[in-house]
Amino acid sequence: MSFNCYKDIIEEGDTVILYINPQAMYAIQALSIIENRKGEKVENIMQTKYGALKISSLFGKRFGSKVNLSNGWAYVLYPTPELWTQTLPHRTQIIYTPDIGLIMFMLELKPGSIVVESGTGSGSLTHAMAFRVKPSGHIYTYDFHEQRAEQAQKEFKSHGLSDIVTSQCRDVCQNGFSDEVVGKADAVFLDLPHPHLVVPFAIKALKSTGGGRICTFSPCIEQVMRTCQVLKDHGFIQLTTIECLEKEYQVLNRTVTTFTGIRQLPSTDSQSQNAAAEESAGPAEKKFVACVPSACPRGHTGYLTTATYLMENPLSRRSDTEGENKCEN
Amino acid sequence: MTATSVENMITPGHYLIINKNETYLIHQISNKAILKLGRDVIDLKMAIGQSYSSTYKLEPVTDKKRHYTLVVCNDNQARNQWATNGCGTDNKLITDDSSSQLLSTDEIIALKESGETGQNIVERLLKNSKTFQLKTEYAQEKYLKKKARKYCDYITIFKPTIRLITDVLYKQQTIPKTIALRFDTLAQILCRINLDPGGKYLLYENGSQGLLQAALLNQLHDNGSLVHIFSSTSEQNPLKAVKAMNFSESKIKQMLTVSLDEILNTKSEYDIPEEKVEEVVFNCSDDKKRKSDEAYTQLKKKHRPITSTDGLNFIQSNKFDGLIVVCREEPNEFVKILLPYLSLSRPFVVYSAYKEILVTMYAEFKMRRDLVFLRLTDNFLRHHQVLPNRTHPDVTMDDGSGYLFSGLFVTVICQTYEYSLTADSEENYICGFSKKQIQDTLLYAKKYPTKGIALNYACLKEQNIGNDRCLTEQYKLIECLRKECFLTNEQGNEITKGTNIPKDQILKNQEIKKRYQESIVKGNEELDNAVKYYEETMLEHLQSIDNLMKKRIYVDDINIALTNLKIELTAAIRRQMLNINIDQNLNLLY
Repeated sequence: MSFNCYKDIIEEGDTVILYINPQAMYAIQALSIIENRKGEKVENIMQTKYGALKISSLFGKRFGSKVNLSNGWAYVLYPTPELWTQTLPHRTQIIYTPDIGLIMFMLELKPGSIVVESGTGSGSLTHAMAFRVKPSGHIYTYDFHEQRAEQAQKEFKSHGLSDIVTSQCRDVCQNGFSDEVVGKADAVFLDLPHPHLVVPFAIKALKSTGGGRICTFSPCIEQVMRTCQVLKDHGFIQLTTIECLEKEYQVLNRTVTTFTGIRQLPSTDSQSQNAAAEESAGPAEKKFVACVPSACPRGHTGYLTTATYLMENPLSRRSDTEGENKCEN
Repeated sequence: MTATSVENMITPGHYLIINKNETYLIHQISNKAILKLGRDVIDLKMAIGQSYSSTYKLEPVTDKKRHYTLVVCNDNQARNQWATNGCGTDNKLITDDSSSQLLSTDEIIALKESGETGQNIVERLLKNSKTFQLKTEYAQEKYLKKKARKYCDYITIFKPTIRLITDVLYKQQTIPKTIALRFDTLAQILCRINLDPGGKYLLYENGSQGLLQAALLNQLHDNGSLVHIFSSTSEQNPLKAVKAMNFSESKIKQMLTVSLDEILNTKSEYDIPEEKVEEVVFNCSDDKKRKSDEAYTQLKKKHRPITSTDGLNFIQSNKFDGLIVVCREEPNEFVKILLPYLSLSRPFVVYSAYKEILVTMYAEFKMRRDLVFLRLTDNFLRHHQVLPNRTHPDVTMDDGSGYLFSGLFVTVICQTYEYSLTADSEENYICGFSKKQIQDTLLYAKKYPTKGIALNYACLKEQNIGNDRCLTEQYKLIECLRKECFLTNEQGNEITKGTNIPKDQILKNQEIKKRYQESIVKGNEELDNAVKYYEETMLEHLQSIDNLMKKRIYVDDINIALTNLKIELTAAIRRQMLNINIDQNLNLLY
């Protein structure tokens, strides 16, 4: 229940992020009793690298406090969309935070926005979008995989997002979006193998007042080319295709040996030679703060194509109303 | 008409985003509705009352040179299209001898000033081009695109959105004292701060022309709030983006403003940043300072009945859900001041155009135990040209996204609550501490009645138990003492074990035993002195902690004081333990 708004104290049923270090973060459902493989009800104890954690000991603690493990410690954090993306159970390849940020920005999401998304996948983006458009907005999300859609539905419900997210199993490439979204959406997001097939349906879903946004996420450039062509043919404007990668740096204390001892060696003066010998006896070292890129950064995620849809035939509609006005006059 | 369609209509006084070909600009439409675009003058009257996102054709005014009016135009017609008759396969026949265009420059200018439409001008240009038919179809497309840009006579008016405003402002990087925030960086900031529409956010922004305030306000729901700390050294038009968003009065009211100086003045005198900021203030010329101050007071008069003292109160009485710092200054010290205002498990994001600044900050913050998930990043952003058979990344690339440093604020205290208490009413809590916890603390204070703790407890009482910070510090201190006691107990046991064996030998020798006793008597005197000294120093330390508590808490100072205290305490308690052990052993002897 902890996903729909920030809270301070952990209660039973909340999802909690257990933070040991940036490489070891786990999303845990705070339940005091779980069923084991034999179906018996047992106390929920989590095993980590640094020892066991009794889940029931978390209740009543504040999010952000330190908890003791049997051989160390960890922090319990609030499951923000960013942390959830890092820890969620993968059912598919997911969209990561840098892309999520950009997608939400390019779709111009704000509280109250109505968004249509396909496919749901593991719900990484859906959670982030739901957090962004709440409390008055809504996400309609579709996935053609029945089991995945079902799991997603369950997840949204248990996370308290069912008021904000409507999840359905539907093949939007063939059947389009459900009727409830026609003419309602402020933005459409497509992450599926053939986004170009869905563009006509997307136009139907977008608000008729114009200015609706569409964004597609495709890992392959061929998909992008097809999508762009279809978008252009359907009168979308402001087409841009971008690729954004986040480079992360690590800041470390490092020591290097320097050449200061060697420089004085060629000198003929015996005293300075002695001095140099003394210096070179212990190699000179320099300490500094190094900023190095992380070891294996992501080289490619996907291309983001975004476009704006203007009104459908604004002239004809407006000339009609103008004609009426004239008649009245 | 429904409310939404009124909102979606162009009204005088509103800001618009005007798009002509590939240029975008922010424009406030006045009653006169005149827009000057380069050398052209465009009358926007026709657009008033129309809905946003529609396209208009520029119709030349017959009696005035380069004056235009608007005619609403269907989107499909708005795309200039010219017929091309065949094309070449390569460019081997095309030579650059400046003779391919038969029309002279003067003739072209005359054409333009005669009020000819762009469509016709380009047609004439094509007709008079010797080489156009020889160009490949791609080159023709490129040529037409270039001409269309020059002779475009369509504009589209958009409703201002953060995306468009960011773009417009980014392209005007040359304005002095501003930060050019690229859209992906802004997107990343909004994402890293995990913006909750109902949350409370603390922002220090200087130089982004109000882009951050606008973006955050745009993301907040009616119950959210934003406190903006402004600097007197801000740029010329510090709220450009906020104005451009056409926010309603009530929306603007969700933003409280506090001056940077006020925040710093509430800090105690030994804070380094205060001096630093003062320097900055002195450095900037008085004129500029006055100007920006005026701008702010004007704005306050216009938009904000809430004075900045309210903002200050709001800061002090609330915990925030996120801290954002985007500025041209070195943010390190300032961020340290603002961090304690965050709720636990909440993020902070700092933007700087320079990596070095954030690296120093990272190195320092890494040592702190109350911050986790620290990340220093920048973005690699590439635009792609997507055209049939000509898809590739754009030739030029922009590598100036700036750097972001973010993390989560947590607590070092291992807090233990009784779960049963959480279910009770809030009255059981005093500033997040359960009553039982406080009782435990007090019991502990009674059980180990060192003067320091008693004194600290008295101070706590005096200062009203509701003081969250005081209580936290008290709790921290007690936690510390408890640990020390535990440690010294263990160490004491070790000492007992270690000394037992030699003492067995000592037993046999009465003389040695006597000497031993004498030394103990002496030692006891020394110990008494030591304990006295220790109590005094402890008092001093605790008083210094009290002083800190009366002012604003600065975690580092407290830590230093506590460390000193710990050292004293460990030494003293170890001595006491030794003493006790010896006494016990001696008792066994007799």
